[in-house]
Amino acid sequence: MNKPGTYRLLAQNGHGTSRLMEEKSMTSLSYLQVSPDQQVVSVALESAREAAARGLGAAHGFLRDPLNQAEVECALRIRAVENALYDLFGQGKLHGTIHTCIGQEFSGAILSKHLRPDDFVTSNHRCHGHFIGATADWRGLIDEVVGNEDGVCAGIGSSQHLWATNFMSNGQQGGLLPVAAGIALDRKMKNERNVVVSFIGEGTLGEGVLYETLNLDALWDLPHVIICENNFYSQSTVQERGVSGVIADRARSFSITSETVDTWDLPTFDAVLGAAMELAREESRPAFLTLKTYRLNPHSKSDDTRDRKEVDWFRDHDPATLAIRYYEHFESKYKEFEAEAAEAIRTALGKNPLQSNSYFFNQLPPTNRFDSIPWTPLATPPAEDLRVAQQLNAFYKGWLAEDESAFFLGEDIADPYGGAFKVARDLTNTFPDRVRTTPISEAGITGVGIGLAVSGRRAFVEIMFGDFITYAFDQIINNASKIFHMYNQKLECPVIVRTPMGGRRGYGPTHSQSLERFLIGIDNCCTLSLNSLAAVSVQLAALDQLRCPVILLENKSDYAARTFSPPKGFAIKSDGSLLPTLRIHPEYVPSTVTLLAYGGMARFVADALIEIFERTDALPEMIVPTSICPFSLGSIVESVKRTKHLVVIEEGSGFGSVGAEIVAQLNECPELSFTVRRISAKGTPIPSAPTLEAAVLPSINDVCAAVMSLMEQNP
Amino acid sequence: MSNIVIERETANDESGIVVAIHVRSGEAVEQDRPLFDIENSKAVQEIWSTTAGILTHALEIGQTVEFGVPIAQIVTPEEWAARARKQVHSPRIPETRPKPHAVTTGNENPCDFVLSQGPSPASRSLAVPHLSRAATALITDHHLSSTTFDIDFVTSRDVLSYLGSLRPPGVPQPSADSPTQTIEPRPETGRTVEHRKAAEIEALSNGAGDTMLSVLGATIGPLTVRRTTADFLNGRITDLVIYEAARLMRKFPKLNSAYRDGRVITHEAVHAGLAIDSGSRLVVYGIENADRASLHELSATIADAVERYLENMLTSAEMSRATFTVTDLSADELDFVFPLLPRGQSCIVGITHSAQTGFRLFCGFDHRVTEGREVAAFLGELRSRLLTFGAAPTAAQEVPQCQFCGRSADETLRKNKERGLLKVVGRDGHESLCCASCWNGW
Repeated sequence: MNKPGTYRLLAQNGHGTSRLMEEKSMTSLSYLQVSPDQQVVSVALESAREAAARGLGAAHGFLRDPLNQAEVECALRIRAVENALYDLFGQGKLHGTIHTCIGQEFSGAILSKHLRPDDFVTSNHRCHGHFIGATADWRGLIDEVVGNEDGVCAGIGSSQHLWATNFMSNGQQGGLLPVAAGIALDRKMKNERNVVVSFIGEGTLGEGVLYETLNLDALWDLPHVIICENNFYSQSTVQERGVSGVIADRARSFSITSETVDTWDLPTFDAVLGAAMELAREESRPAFLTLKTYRLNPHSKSDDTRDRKEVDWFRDHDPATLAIRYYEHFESKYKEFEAEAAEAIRTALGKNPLQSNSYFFNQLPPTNRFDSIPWTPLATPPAEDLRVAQQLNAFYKGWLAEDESAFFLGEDIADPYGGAFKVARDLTNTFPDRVRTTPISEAGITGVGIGLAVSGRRAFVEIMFGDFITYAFDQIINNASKIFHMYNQKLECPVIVRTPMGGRRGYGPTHSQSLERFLIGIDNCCTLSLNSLAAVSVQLAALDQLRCPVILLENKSDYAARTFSPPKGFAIKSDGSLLPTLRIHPEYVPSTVTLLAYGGMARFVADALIEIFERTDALPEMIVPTSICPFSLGSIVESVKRTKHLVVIEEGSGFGSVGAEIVAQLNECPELSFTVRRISAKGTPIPSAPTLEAAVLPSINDVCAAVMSLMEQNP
Repeated sequence: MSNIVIERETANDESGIVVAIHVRSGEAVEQDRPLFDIENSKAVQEIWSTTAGILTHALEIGQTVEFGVPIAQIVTPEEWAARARKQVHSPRIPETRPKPHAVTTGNENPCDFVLSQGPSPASRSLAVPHLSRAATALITDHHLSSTTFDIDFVTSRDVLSYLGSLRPPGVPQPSADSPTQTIEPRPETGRTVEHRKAAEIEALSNGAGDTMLSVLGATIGPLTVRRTTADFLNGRITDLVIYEAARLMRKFPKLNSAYRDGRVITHEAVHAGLAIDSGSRLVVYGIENADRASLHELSATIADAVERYLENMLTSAEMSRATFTVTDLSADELDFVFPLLPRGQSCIVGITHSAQTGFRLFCGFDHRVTEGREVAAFLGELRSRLLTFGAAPTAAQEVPQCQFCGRSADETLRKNKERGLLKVVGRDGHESLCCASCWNGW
């Protein structure tokens, strides 16, 4: 059973079960035992003890085999670096925290044997071993953790947020899993037999996004190997408290090949990992490995509540410790590595940190501030003008045709249905590989889009209703938004998450919202709000120039509308910036009030301009930004300077909204004096019944009342 | 007859657009024939006939139709024939605005704004401008025409500005802040108070400000005074009143006083004030020691004072030394005067004359210094003394009196054993009687 060498997996599709290492099913808390001095002992740990005891001989066999020398030395290198960093942390010379993988080094070391160029590895907070195994850049790691500019991310990310061309780690549990699936999808499309390996802990088994990823891996046959390092303690929580059922069975339920191995029986682990990588590489199929292991150090430092005797027992069975203890060659190698690590740390401490001014560059599009605005008239829309949904369809179709690496994902978008609002009509027929209908997994598909984007592709991810973008917040805020800066500007994430906002259709509270205010001000993210006042091609003309993540908000009511034509006497112009701000104004008569609106409200107000004029005796001009974060302040200033009256109208709640930000920035402008009213939805969920819905959302009555009160206050 | 109604197919739409018409209105159709194509936001709906008959509709390509509402009908041939007979073929009459009187002006300037975009070649592109409701109201009120305005969008400010430009100069513009205002405010008239009046006001208000002014009146009646010289005092009794009142001030010293800070200050001398006003300036000339002046001296002083007043040569001492005042309004036919107390005085005697009642005296007094009883006594005595100047010689007139002390010859005989009164001729030739005591001095 414990022979080194090649090993053929018994199970293919997961319906059969591998009986190699079956765990006891521990589901009841009554199995928890409390030791005399009140430390909780994991009973699941028994299986680890068994494995360690059983694997002792195999471990020695592995250590003795000269073919494995490189892997053992890799493990020792990891240990030397980890110990050095741990000591440094103890001396108080590290800013932040570290999570050492002492005792788990072989997972990274054996991985290094099976990785090929263009494979990719994702990991979590305890990633040093994986990083050194994947990249061998232990010096860069030391610099990074110490925090100088030579670090792999120049000290920006430190221990948990590392990047290399074949490696990525991030701090939130499971967050990178769908990203890894996206990278796996990219590798699959490239058809060069690459594999993506993701490391998680047993604690990650609580996060839903893991299961979304397993589902996607299985549905799309992605070359994704997920290794769950089960060290039986999630920080201080024993496994029984956080994990129900059998770990390996989870993947099996998705029909994914699932095996259980450990870091004591190293030959078996080596063979099984090799087989899993082979499966992924040659047959493009996912695999899930449960890797029993044990960390000898605390979770980070001084947060170890485990029994000392237990820890010591595992240390005596730890292969790396055995290597140093019993093998002279490895002992001297280890001493060498220790000295090198110490030297590297000494040097690292003397190096400079990154200059902060180079850190603050971002990828957001330029916006005008106080220059004079070259307002240019828009061309009148053609007679057989398409509805906005059809224009969007044509735009995305054109994009996918021109960019043959671009992807388009969305729920229920397969033809003939073409998506809930038909924006994706005919795309799956035309581009069957790159346009994919997905399960209902907003976090999962956004992560996949991010994974595709960091692999160099454009990825459009459709969230069916704007209300559901809440599922994808972690992917947007902790992955997409951070990638560029966290990894020291070495990596771009040009993902476009698109979704329709807006009510007035009676869809009710969770299908009618305008959530713009939760999607603005996200680091390095550009938020666009499309309207129906100008053609889609005009508003999105510069989309391909944006390399930052884009949140593209469409509008349900506008989907059915055709491009706006201004009423006689009004002209519509664009300010000519990358993401245009539109202006609708009386052509020959100066206006006396500025109405600022975006998204669906822009058309709602624009259709009522004459009525607003007649009722209020004030002559309005509209300013409509298409980019709401960042927005072109200059175009707004130019109008407000002239009229001195501003009414901001938005369909979402007004507290901390786009409108609030605009008014705040206007107030920071020197020598700009104006009076302002803000109109927004009432602070309650949007009801379905039509009169109630109309009462919650802004109305033209509200606009007229605001304009008249403004003119009264400040004629 | 059956209706063709389009069903709503998507939650996102309330209307669709006619993109194809396969059958014209009036054509016969059989059942299940395609009639129209209606496009919604997601797809094109094909509308089929439900029965046989004649299709009637008024649809056009590109027209928006609502869901759930009949857009066409299929009628029987009989119904169709009946409809055809009833139909009136008349063109649609376009809506016209009511035409108020057109006002033609030469100097319109309705648009007085600064265009930040630079001057436009035309400010109006619309055939008929849009009017705000407030502007419409103003235009109707003032019977204007909307075509008067050379801009696309007319607000109340534009109308008011236009109305303002019609006004002749000098009349202030109405405020443009309240668009509903149509009545212009009456311009204010009035002159600033002249300097001398302001001084007079100050003088009177100082005296009258705190004064508790009360007035008592007494009728003298018609009084004809024989005057030896035909001077300006003919028909008046001004000098007589001054003469008698000044002497009475010795008897009623409170009337020759002033109230100041809770104290009554009696003047030592009696300087009778004579109010003189030719229309340019009211002054009170103080006749010095009027209680010792003879009638003759008094009239001379008065004449002199008036002359110098007219020449503006009165000194400020003369104009401020009066301790009480007499004001004569008997030249006008008046029944009553309410004289105001000048500064520093507590008694003023006004003289009126009317044909019916003759002369009347009205004594204004400061109630802080004196009271009605005393003034009534003063007035009574003044009156009786004045009456002795009457033309009809009375018995009292036959009794010779010393001009200066007023004692009769009998009194001087009784008191001083004097045998009679001396007849004295003054420097100016005026004869008077004088007792020995007054001649000798004592």
